[in-house]
Amino acid sequence: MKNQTYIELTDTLKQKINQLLNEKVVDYVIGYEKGSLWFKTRPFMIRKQTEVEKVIWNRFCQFNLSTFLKPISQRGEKIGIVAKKCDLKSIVELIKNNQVKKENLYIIQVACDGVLNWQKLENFSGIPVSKVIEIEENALNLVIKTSESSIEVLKSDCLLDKCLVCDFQHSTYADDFISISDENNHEIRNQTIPYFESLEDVDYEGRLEFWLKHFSRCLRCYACRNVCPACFCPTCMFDSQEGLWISKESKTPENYVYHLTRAFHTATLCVECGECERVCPVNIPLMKLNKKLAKEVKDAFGYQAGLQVDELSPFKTFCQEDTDEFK
Amino acid sequence: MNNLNQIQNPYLPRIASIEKITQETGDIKTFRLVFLEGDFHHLPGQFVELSVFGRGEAPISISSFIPGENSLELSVKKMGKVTSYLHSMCEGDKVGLRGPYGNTFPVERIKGQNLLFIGGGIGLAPLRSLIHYSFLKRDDFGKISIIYGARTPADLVFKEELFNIWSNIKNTEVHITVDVATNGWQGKVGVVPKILKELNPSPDNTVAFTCGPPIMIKYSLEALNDLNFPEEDTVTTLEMKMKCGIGKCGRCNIGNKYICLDGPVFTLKELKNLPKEY
Amino acid sequence: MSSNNPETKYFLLKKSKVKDLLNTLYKEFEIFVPVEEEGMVNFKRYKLNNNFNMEFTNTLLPPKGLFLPQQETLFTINYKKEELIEENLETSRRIIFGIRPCDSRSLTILDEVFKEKSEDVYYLQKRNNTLLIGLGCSNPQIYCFCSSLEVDPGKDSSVDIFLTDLGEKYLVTANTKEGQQLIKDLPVYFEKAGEEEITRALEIQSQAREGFSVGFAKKDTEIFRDVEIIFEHPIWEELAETCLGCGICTYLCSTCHCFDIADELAKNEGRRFRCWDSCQFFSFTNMTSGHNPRPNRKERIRQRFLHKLSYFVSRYGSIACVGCGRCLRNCPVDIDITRVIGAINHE
Ligand SMILES: Cc1cc2nc3c(=O)[nH]c(=O)nc-3n(C[C@H](O)[C@H](O)[C@H](O)COP(=O)(O)OP(=O)(O)OC[C@H]3O[C@@H](n4cnc5c(N)ncnc54)[C@H](O)[C@@H]3O)c2cc1C
Ligand code: SF4
Ligand code: SF4
Ligand code: SF4
Ligand code: SF4
Ligand code: SF4
Ligand code: FES
Repeated sequence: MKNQTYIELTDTLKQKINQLLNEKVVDYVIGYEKGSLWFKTRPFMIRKQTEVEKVIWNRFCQFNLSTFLKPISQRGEKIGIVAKKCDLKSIVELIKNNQVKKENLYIIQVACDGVLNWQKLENFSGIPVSKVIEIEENALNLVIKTSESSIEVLKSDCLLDKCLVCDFQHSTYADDFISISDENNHEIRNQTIPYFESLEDVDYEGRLEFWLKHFSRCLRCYACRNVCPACFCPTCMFDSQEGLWISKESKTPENYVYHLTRAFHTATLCVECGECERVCPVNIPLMKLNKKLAKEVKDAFGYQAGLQVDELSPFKTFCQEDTDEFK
Repeated sequence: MNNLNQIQNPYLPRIASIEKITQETGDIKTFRLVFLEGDFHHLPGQFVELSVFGRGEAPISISSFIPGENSLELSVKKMGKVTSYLHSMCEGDKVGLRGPYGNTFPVERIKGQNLLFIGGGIGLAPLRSLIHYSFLKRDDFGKISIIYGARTPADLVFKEELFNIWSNIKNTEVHITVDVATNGWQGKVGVVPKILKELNPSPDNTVAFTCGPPIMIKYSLEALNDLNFPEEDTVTTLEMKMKCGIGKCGRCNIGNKYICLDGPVFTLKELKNLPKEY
Repeated sequence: MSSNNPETKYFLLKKSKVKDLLNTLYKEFEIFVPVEEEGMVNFKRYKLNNNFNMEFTNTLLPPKGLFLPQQETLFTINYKKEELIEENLETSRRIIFGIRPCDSRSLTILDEVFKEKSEDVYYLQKRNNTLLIGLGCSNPQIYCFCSSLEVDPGKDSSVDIFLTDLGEKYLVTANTKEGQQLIKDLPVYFEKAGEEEITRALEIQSQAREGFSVGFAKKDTEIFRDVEIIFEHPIWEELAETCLGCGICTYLCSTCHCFDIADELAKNEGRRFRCWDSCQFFSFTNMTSGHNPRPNRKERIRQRFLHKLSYFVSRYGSIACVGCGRCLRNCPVDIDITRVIGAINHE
């Protein structure tokens, strides 16, 4: 995939990581390396300078690396972390909830122009990823080339859902901001796309049917939980004791309990990074649930997760003016 | 297409009734179980999957050797769901049993040899099946020595047999020890490996069997090594989490061995060929 | 799973007639066909005139679930009568229509496990009751690497009937007596294949091994025979740094067979069931005492790779991977078995 901006950003990023390791500012840096296929990247713990060569930054760096700051994966070392604008929100929440100390972190924000979703790429271009030889970018489009043809698709059609509404501008939490121009090129985002069909207008029966349909195929692989930076409990209640709360069978009542409980546990912590929905192997639209809870929290308490380090979550505050609807 | 109806369903337990319950220690009870129907044949070292219906199953060593009768004894420590519920059950209640499963102590190979048993805590349970077996065929074996220890006198299991029966059998020695002496304990004090070293048994024509808490096994194996017991004559049993008991559910493996099928009995020599993951 | 017949026969089946064929078979069989739903193709039970999709390269979920369902009742318990009621294992005869060569191979691998010593009636009953109609591949997905293992994507003689896509029609190869009988019983759908079509199909079959994007050399798997060396390899530590310990790679694997057994307690009736479980979960080996022989992700991810590439080989004689690529496609952190094998050998 050719994109001069990203190539230059990668070079600057490598220099930065090199410097951080060299000057022992951090023990290791969490970044990205090339994945096994051209449209994949993988999280990468860079400990040695010889490894810096493998660092990349491109349009497929979807992973929200902040999940590796959860205490379960920490070893008390000083960590550098590569972060997209949206990933910063998760880092803010982790700091806020005492899961990681800001002084143990070195945050390298990298300019991001939106992350591509390979499945959308396949769907909109009609070209299977296995046939793609090269992708070029112009202002608005991606030019997808195969050995026989080349097809242009709108970039905005192929971005991750969350990138379409990416509005978080804050970068004061980052220790560094790697960019070429000031900020990203927002025009490519077609804000009018109804990327999120809300269930607000659907009645109770309809919503029940909707969720039963989706939850019934959940495998309970727990990838959504394990990838989630907001699920930072050292022992999740669903792991606490064999079959204590719900059995291991993945059937409707158990799956329902799992998902609703997780949604409640992550409400006020979920920054809508979309990782749970992205990793779900059976395409369960988990973001509909998360967004609904985020909306409720915002409507009731005027609170949004991930914005301010010093703003306490509604779970941790009590306010006389809070609405009290449970009579 | 073959007809599978003749094949036994290996997941279906047979029903047995609790005939007698002996309180061994505060949290260990021995249950004598009798099958409602059919025979039961096993060899020392094997285990069963015990069902408490509605609660689940747990693998438990057969701690007895009672040939000719369709009954067996299980000595069970109260731990989690199944074992706790079992402890609340009464004589006459029904449980389920699958098995016997697993390999056995090498009963043929050890004929004519001296036997040295080294047990700790509930670890005497699997050894007891071989102890019963060897007393039943007393003339097949040489000297029999039993070293057994528990944390306190109150934690000793099979007290009646230990103190009053086994030591009275010919050419048999029983050494009992506790880590901490309480209640006016007059006997030996000290952990099992220490007592083992003090007794200094000869490895000549002797096979050693050890079972107990991991830490006891570890130091006993070291002590046996110091006493020049050959690796192939040092026998132990392993414990891994189990569900199916028949090599299907995939969880009890150490390297390429399923403990439920290829174990739980291993010689130290075999153990050394396995990855250290137990 | 049926007796092989050395005398194979070639027929033709028009694609336009497949639906009619399924509608006819439907009267006698429970049929599973690839169906596209919610952006995924999976084997679903065929209902009269249902739509299906034969242009998939592979299903998201492996067909193992049709033999080892994610959850399955083993028996129910009647407390009052103190009796166990066995599940009725009799099923109607079944057909899987369109199973890929990698996945049919995975069933012969699973057979080894479920037949060893105590025969697993729940699995084997379904296996013996199921006719496999396989479909050759000429369009491997970017993740497929069956050709690195002992799977021929173009030709599969382990299924009862094998289809090779000739565009408008399939060349139909009957591999077993049962397959031949099925064709013989339904002459309206199957015509005799001519020399020309057979030649063309053989050509397509032999080209199927081309066009793979990932894979490894067979000799690179030999290193896994030496457990002592491979067990202590630093790569497990490295993989554990990013592995999330989720169930994706094992639940979606064609050959993973691990399960849990537990009871459900209701008022007068209990139930014992089994359900999929994964060696990637902490609880898999954690004992009540609190001792866990595989306490960290390092030991658990090592178990997954070594079980497939080493332990299974020394126990059953083959690698427990068929190269379906599902783990590679779906792993959230892109842990890739082909890269692991390559890295251990060449880095
Ligand atoms: C070969 C073998 C022989 C054993 N013999 C005895 C014995 O004679 N006496 C005795 O008291 N205990 C014995 N144990 C240990 C006993 O199996 C566990 O204490 C018991 O499974 C705990 O079950 P639970 O339902 O009470 O606990 P829970 O915590 O509710 O356990 C849930 C399930 O996990 C599995 N499991 C948990 N811990 C273990 C474990 N340590 N080993 C195997 N599976 C486990 C079981 O399937 C169990 O039903 C033996 C274990 C093995 C492997
Ligand atoms: S990732 Fe998907 S399948 Fe897995 S537990 Fe979450 S919702 Fe269920
Ligand atoms: S799918 Fe990937 S992240 Fe999940 S357990 Fe497997 S290797 Fe680890
Ligand atoms: S290990 Fe991966 S490629 Fe191999 S059979 Fe399993 S899912 Fe398929
Ligand atoms: S890889 Fe893990 S889950 Fe899969 S069969 Fe092996 S032990 Fe079981
Ligand atoms: S792995 Fe091979 S057999 Fe399986 S779908 Fe891909 S090409 Fe076909
Ligand atoms: S207990 Fe299931 S494989 Fe050993």
